[in-house]
Amino acid sequence: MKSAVLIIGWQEVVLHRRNRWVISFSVLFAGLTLLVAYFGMITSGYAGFQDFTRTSASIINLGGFLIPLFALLLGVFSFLTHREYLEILVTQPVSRTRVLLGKYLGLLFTVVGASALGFGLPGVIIALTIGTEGIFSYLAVILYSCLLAVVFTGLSVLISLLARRRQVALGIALGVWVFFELLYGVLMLATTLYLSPNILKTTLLVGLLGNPIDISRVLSLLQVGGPHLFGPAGATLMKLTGSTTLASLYGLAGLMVWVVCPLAAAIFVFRRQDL
Amino acid sequence: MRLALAVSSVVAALLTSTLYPATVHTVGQGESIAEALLRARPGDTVYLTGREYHENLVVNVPITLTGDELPLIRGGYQGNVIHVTAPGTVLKGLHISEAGTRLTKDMACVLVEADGVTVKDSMVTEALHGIYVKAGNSVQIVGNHIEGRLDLIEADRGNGIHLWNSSNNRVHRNEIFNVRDGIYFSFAHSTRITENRIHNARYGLHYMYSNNNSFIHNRFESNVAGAALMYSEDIVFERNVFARCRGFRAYGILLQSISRAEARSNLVLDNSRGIFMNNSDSCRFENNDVVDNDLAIQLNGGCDDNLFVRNNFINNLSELLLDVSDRETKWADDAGGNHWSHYKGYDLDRDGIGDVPFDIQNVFQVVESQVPEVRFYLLSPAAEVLQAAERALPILNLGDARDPKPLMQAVVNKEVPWQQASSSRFSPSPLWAVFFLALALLPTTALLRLGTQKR
Repeated sequence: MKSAVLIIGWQEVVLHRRNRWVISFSVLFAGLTLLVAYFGMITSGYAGFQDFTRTSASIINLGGFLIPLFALLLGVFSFLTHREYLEILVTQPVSRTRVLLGKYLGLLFTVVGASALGFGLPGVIIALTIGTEGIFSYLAVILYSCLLAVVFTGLSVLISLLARRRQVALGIALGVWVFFELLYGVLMLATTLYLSPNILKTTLLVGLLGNPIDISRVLSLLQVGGPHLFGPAGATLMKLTGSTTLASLYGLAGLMVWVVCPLAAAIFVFRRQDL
Repeated sequence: MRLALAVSSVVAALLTSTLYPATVHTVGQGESIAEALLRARPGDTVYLTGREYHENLVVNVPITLTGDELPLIRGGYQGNVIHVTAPGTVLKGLHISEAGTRLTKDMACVLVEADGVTVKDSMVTEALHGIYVKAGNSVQIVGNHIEGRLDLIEADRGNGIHLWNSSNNRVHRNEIFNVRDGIYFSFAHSTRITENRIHNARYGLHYMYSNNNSFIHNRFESNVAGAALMYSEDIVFERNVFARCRGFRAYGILLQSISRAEARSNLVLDNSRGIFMNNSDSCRFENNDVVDNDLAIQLNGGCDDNLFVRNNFINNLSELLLDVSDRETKWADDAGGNHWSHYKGYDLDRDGIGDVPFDIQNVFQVVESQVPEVRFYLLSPAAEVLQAAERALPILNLGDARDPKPLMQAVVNKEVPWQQASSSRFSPSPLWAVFFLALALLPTTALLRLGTQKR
């Protein structure tokens, strides 16, 4: 007998398979990453590792843009467009935690599965141009981007439960996206105008942990370009953490907090919620 | 005076060789080279037919020491392996190995303390210093392969070629690696360095207090700094490749307290920092390609009257880092400035020069110069937005570093040795390509097929 979580998750995936948005996203994302990889690695007259760094950086940014947006929108649609389905599920003899976990896993599988094309095809180009030297860095890039999908799927579930109405939820989701994508970074850069240099160092470093997109971008660049890509700031980071591995572990821990907290909050809300 | 000495000693060597008919002394396996050297007259040849010799030699008669198929001379990690004190000595086609390990005693595989010595077509391995020229002028070091010791930490290693208090030397077509500095110059003037390949060293070239030097058509790869020029004057370098120096303290070209360096047609490719200058003046960079570096140029305090023209700055993550305000550097002359791939201006009168001056530091780099930690936001959407906003509404003063005549098209210069750099060190792997293809297609087909089959 399959567990209820998996059955619900499976149904969720089947539901999204019929959603034209999923396949559109998949094709769009793959098309863009493929273009970036093609122009970055092949037509540039490949000469240095910098091309790989730059290509990866563009793919990281593309993923950082599209994956959170897609995860947020898909979650909101799933919960609030198919509301009756959710209500039926809840009437079944299954705990609400399991219902939520099932839907969450189904959403996650859809988001990651739809991104696979966009990450795999540039991988083919990278493997054919620079081979094993870049592969593991690129795998790390994929991992960090997928973690981003996990974080924002959790956030989308939480938003859908809190907002309840579809338009409100969509508004909040887009707001959250713009905030983490742009406003947060601009605010951090703006602090340089107001804070004294001593506080600034820690603010900017610790501030990175406040934004999952920043964590994933910095970790990816750390992996691809090495800490010296960040110049003296990279040296500070190495001094604080000890090594690239340790710095990555701190970052991963930060991302894990971002994975667990929204999901835990969503479960907490859903169990008490009067549908 | 020194030159005259060198010439006279060479002439003396030639004279002696014509006075006495040259003899060839053959030294077989198990025989002693030192004994043969005792018998040798100036101008003789000592010919090694054996495979391996365990000796520390002093060559005090001007002879030619050579042999079949790189005979190995091992110093047993004691002192110098071959110590040359006779002017005009030729070492050719030898494999010299196992120098002593005491840096304070300047131990080397070949220690040259005479003028007009030639070391060619030889292999130098297990070196502390590879070839040490101590007050020897007009020395020729050609076609050698010099390999340092990886088992020593960088600080305990010696230099590939060490030139001290000597002039008019020539270093041509050597390969040097795994050493501290590839070629170290201290009070070494008028030296010509051509067509060498130096990699995996600390500094490829390291000039200290050495004037009137030139290095041409060399290739420096994967060093801490390709060439470090310090406390010297009048150095000309052309058609070199400085590539893949990566790390916190890594530089393609490093200038510290230099006057009148001239760089032409060099390729500075894929370094953490391309060109670093501190306290240097009257230097001229012309027709160089500076490509794919994390940072193209760093100018620190005390730089004055330097000129950058007709260089191509292409695809560098950042162009310029200044630690103090800089008005003294000139980025254009009458004929025009440089080509910058980040330049977003236009050219309405079609004269090839952009109508809008190029602020070399963008707003992000200006902020970064003040707060290094800002660089964590490098390549972030926020940073891009900041730059776009600055372009649309230029309200900040972006410093004085400005190219008044940015070139719209990259300068085409066939002298820049691109063909040397393009040999890729990467090996494509079809296996991983298949893996990624599967990674791409499996979930996608799964998503597509799912739910279509009847259950």
